[in-house]
Amino acid sequence: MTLSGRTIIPLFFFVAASYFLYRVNEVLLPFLLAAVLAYLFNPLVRFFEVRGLRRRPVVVLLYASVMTVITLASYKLAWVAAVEAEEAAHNMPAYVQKGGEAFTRLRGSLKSDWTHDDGRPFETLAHRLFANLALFDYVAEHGKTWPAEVLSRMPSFALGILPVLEIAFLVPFIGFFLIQEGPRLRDHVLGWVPSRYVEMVLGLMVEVDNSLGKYVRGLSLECLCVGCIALAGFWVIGLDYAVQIAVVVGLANVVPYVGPVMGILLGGGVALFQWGSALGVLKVLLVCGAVRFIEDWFIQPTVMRSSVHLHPAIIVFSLMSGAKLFGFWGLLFAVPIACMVKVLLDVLWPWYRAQYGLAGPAPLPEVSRIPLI
Amino acid sequence: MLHWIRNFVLDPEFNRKRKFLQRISLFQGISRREFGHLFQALVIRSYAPGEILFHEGDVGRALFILESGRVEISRETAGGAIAQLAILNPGDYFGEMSLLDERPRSATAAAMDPVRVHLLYKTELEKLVRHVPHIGAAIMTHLGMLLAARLRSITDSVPVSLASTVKLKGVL
Repeated sequence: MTLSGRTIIPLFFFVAASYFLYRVNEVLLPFLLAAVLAYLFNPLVRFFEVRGLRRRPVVVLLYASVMTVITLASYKLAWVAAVEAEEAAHNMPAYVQKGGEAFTRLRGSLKSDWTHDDGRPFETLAHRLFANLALFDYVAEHGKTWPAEVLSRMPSFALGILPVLEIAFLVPFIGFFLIQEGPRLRDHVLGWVPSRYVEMVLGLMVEVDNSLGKYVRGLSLECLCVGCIALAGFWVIGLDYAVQIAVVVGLANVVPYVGPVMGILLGGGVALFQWGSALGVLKVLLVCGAVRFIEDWFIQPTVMRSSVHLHPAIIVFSLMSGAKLFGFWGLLFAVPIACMVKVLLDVLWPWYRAQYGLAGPAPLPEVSRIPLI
Repeated sequence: MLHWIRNFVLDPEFNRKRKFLQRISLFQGISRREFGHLFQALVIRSYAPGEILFHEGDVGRALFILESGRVEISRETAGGAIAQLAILNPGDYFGEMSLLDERPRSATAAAMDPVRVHLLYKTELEKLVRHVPHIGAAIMTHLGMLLAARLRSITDSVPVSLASTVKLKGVL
């Protein structure tokens, strides 16, 4: 294979465009989120489009409906949050006292066991290690002031989420145009492709679109299911702030394996302050374990059935690479990008092998020896 | 007022495409209500006169349905000359073998006029078969009938004595 001008020029533009996108990666975030939004909306728009309705009025009507629901939900949520904050401020001293007592009890029991030796080496070692650990002393001493500190930092936290609000306005705006364009965008892109590569690029677009669409919609449904199951579990054990913790669990589940971990951390913390005993934390652990079990054995096989399958090691590697390169957002988009790379390889490699004669055509199926009748 | 609402909400392109595709034998048996699903699977592409749609030997994965313009199908002979096999007109479709196997194209297709085609990619047909089986089955049945007709026509053109001696396996 020789490199001619016809190959080098597009290659140069591709490399330049990739470098440019890498340099402006921070600006890409709203566009990526808008694409996610478009994938979520697409089946709804498609439902009306296949019945002969124009895309634009359908998108406008759907957007108006969804925005109305979101506005009403935000209003309701803000009201609930205000009530909960007032309740939290009222309950805080009792919570802090209970938490403090729990820590003091735990520390006391461990210190009283310092001389504990029942001949079982591991248990003895654990007791001695934890009894000496300064962490318990530190938590017992400073832990009482943490809730107040968190509340005092709320204004600066609110300022910190301003960029998030900016994205919250930008994403629906860009998403609107992406959804409205829909298949026309694909046809436009295909119009620029040299005719010889149309089938190959069309193949790439179809496969990537299929796998990303399935992944985004499947993941959203999975997060919703996980959030609902966690909520049911927290309600059953009577945990305070069950709705808020379940929402965080559902949202955190966007990053594989993180949802239930967040549930354990937040729910465990609340349980410790609420009940002041390790039993409460154990209940939360059981709920989160059950959530993880149901997710692994029932939700994922159903919801992500036709999505791209990645080996767990590849998922962990892509998450670590994403986090290393782009921080939190890298963590968020690592798996869909890994799916995309897998699809690209699945489509491009056989095409490349066939096109440049590295592999012969697939063998013809065995033809029956029965004559034509 | 009702007329205005109707024009605003209903897609005129939808009816135009449906009328065009209903004429094509491949899509016979698909009801008016189901055509919307088929449109979702098709991609439109335009070609300038002289532009090559695909070359002989390229690996194909899509079916082309000619909406406007003419397309020349040609093949390189053993001596290196170009032999014209057919000229296709609007309503014709070609490259259907790629929907069944992903083997190299057996001929070259070139646009003779400004050409507009609908492409049906293999994966999209598979999606139709899975999600809207009635459409998928209709297309597959017509493809099967087309291949059977071609096979019969080739078999009929081969003398019985020759057919018994020539290994048909892999040839047809």
